[in-house]
Amino acid sequence: MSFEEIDKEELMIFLEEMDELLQVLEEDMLKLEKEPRNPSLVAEIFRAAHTIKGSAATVGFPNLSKLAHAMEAVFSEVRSGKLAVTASLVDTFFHCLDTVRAIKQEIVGAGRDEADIGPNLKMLAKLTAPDTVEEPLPETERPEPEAKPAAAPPPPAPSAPSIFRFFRIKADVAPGCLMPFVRAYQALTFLSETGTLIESTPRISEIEAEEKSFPLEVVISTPAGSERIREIMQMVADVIVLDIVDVEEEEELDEPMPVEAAEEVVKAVAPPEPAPLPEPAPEVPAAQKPSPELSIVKELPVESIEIQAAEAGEEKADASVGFLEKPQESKDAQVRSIRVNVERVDAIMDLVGELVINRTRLTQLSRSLEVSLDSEETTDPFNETADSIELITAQLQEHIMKARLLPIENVFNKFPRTVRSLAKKYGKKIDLVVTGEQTELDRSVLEQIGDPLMHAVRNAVDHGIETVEERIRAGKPETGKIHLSASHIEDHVLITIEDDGKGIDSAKVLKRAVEMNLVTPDSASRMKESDLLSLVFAPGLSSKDEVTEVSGRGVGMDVVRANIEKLNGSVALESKPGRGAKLMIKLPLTLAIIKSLLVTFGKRIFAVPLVTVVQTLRIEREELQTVSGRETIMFRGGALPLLRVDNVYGLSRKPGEKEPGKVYIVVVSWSGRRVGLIVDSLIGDMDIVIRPLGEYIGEAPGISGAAILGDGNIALIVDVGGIIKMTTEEGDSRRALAAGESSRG
Amino acid sequence: MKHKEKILIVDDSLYHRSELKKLLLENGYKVFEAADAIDGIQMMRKIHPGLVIMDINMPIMEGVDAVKYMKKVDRNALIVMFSSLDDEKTVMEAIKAGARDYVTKPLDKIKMIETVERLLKSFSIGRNA
Repeated sequence: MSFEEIDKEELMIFLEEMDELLQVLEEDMLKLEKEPRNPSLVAEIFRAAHTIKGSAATVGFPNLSKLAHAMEAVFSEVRSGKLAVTASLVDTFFHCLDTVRAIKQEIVGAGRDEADIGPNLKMLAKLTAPDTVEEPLPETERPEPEAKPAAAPPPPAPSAPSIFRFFRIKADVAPGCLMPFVRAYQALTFLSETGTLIESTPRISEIEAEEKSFPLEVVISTPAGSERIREIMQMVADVIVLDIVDVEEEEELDEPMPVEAAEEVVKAVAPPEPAPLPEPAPEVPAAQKPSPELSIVKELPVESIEIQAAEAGEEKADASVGFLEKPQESKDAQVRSIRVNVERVDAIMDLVGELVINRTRLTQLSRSLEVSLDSEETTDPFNETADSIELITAQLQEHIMKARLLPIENVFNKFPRTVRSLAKKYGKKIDLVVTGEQTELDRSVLEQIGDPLMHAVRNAVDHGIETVEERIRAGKPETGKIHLSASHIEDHVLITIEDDGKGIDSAKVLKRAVEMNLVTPDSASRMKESDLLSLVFAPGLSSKDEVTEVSGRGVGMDVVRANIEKLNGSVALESKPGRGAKLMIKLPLTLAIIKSLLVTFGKRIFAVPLVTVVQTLRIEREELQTVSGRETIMFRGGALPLLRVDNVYGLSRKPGEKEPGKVYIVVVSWSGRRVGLIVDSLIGDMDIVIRPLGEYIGEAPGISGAAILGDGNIALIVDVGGIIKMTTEEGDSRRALAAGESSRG
Repeated sequence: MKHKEKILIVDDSLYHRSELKKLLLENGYKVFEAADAIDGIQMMRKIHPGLVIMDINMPIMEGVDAVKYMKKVDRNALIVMFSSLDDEKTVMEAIKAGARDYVTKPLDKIKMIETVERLLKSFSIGRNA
């Protein structure tokens, strides 16, 4: 690998990291707007800016580093309480984030970071200027009631030469705990899993007998540090850690822990009241109503241990410096994940696909071997091996599929910012509620749903939610609500976008549809409510601004549907006039494997994606009718245009192949249009692994890919959208021709 | 980071199962249900859930026995007891048998999700890689 390549890889990692950090910053800033005094948010923003500063300098982007430094400096002030979070601070930060993003784009495009950061630096400097006086933002959302100590670790004490250290842990139970004995028992079991219990008061037998529980005092010997012990204790609900002390250090000092430090610890978990020395453990009511002090000292407990350690160990004062800047280092979760280039995962996925095919062949082989050999001694071990390979392959496939899954939050987290700025632009008040953002989807699906979803969310903001005045007039709360959610339903993912806006006026949609000649007035009168709503997805309807004005929706909904259907998904819409609308998007977990109906034409096998299949019919050849040069049949009360696979793909029957007397028709639907495919026979449905055609033969119209079947045969995957488009264009011109003829005649 | 973990609910009450199922689905989990412990154990063998939520009082096999059995099947099984308020003794037994935590009935949604997330985060070593 040359130096240049190393640089490239480094740059890729840097850019990925930038994406994540920008996201963190953006989310946290939005949260901070609501909870301006949440210290963990402040700390996280500070850290993110700090990391950008460092990485940018390392990779060689001094301008970016400088901007990040200025941002960090502002938050350093906020963190130390010298600066309050104000509206202009938040706005300035969003501006800066935009600049950072622009610089990132510049780096991607041109490899430079020469954007002008002057204005941003000035704005940031203004924030810290002493003469600026602005009202701090009010706390709109109270912080969590629990005074959770941060997970930040104090660095290991350098004075402990032995791997095992002794800790004295004191803990109490939260008021209102329903089963204190269970909690005490859990605490002891958890602790004994990380070390050896030296002594405990009360004893484990007393707890088991339900005689005594809290306060609990335990001495353990463990290789873990105090922060790990704290983490472990926090896994037990309702338990409040009062104190964790390194016993040896305690003995060295030969006196109880310093008074100030003890008070610090107590203050951190309890309301500030003069606390007695920790012997006996003070009664600490925890998880009380959040008081401002509490929310501020939320992160303090660990810091206080720091102080305590520093005071006890004298020369360790330096150890606590800077710990706030890199506390994530101890988070195991981060250590347990690794970055892998997407291409590598894709390559493995492809290989697994090959393996799946061969596995199926092997299974078939083993079955036929069984029949032909008829000797159990030979075939049994062979079959067993084949079976176990089948099992392992299936598991391997599942795991690699999982590795490709990403939480949908990667897409969802764009929306809070969009909704915020759109709402501001239109003078609306909107709360965006996001749930199920951890729902996972294959990254190929994820990459492609961003735009349709953004479209739908914009629609909800733009046309769904009314202005404040309109809402007040309608007797609704002035803040509108958009609920974006994702969840797993069987092997699909359901994404819903629900708003409490004005809904869709179906009467007006219908009127417009009639005007646009999308439906006849006659059929319009017979339409059901659900069919009416599906008109919103009709292509011609959406492009008219007038319709969007009256219907509340419709901008490019046909585009949304087309995009989702391309992913083998489907969309549906519900609306309650005056009360809101709900768009539901159903997506497959992965694009790599699709459920398909296998059909034959002559000796060839085609795979029709099952989501597009409406019904299959078996008819006599004589039942086919020809209307204006095209074969049709009557289907559900209407004429269904038919397509012959051979015509579509320009195939011809091989000599000797005869046309069967009965034919099968696969009725497929795409974007609301239906056609029937004439095929010779149906094989059945099957999960197939899609192989792109592109690499070998280029784009083939009407074919979206190929799949290798268990017996080694190749099935071509029918691009239903493509063939319907091909035929309707052709059909339109024919119909125009036919219409012309009939008017003349 | 929370992933789409499989969670198995073992409870003979349809009401509790559906209440839990809804909550877990809303939070992005994959949910499986069993109406008794035997069914639950079989299902566990098949699907390897990331976490099991287990009722204490069930016909055929009690929750505590089910915990013991499940721990034999999978030493690392992560089990949360879902019990009524007055069950402290039984809950203690279940914890001794290897259950990791408990949540009391009636269902406190916030507490349940908090417990599930905390346990999955703390104990599902290797599962979230």
